[in-house]
Amino acid sequence: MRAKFLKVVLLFWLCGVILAAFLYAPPAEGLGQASRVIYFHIPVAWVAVLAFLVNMAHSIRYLRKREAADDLRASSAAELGLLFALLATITGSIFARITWGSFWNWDPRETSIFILLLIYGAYFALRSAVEDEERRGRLSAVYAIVAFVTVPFLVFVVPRVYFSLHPEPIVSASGQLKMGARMLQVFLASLAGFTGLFAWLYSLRVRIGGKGAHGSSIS
Amino acid sequence: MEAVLVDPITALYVVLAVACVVFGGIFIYLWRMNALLRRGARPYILGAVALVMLLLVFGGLWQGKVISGEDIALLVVMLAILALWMGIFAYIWQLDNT
Repeated sequence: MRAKFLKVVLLFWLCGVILAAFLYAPPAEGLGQASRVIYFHIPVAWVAVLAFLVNMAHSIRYLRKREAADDLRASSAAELGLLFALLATITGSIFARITWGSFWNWDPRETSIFILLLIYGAYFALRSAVEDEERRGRLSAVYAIVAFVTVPFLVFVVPRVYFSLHPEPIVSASGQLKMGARMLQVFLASLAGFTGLFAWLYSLRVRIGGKGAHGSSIS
Repeated sequence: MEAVLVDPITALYVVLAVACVVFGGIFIYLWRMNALLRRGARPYILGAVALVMLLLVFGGLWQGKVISGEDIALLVVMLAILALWMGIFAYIWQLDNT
């Protein structure tokens, strides 16, 4: 009952975010109407990072307890992380086309997310190469922990160290927020909404993964 | 001075394209999850909503030719993304209850 209530809240929450993104938040200076992309593009990237964090957490649990459920949760989180990282890459490319003139520029942020895609793509390549369940779980858990070490560096450090075509980060290197109040409110609401959406998709995936008709995963 | 290479109306439709990629990607993922179930959900509601969205977008594009476009485009894009999200929500809900 509580779960259903939360899902209905999510429906109205994201409806509110979408309405606010167009009617309440003003267009940003310089980017104009194109700035409304941030309410979809950045939360998707954020969800990817969150999913990879969940993947790492369950990988650590798996190594400690060796329960198959933790391996399922870890791989489910990685699947969603890869999906959202891919969506962030594609949406970022679309934005790049209208602001920088081409879909791909090897900008530090674009390059970072591309490397992340390769790293987590390799996670699934590793899983599919090992037949034994216990060995697969163990190897992919170790890989996931090491892989996540690169995430904060690639997502948060590299784009701030090197010159980037991207708009200025919302949180500057000195820790200051660089966004108008209305935009920030809608942006944070969008982050929360997409986080809720991830939580729902994740719980669904874990449930289906445990009861799949073929006993297999989407990966 | 605008830092984008397109006019405001096109920029709004680019925002719609971005939202379509996000929700379209989620839809494809849900479709594959659906395939794992023996009796999967049938996304009729999503289909209906997608149709409404297409009508809104094309109606808006047509209207934009007759009446000054930016406000109309803003409304159309917003309603289209709203419709898209509701459709995706309905699909996830159906899948969750299958």
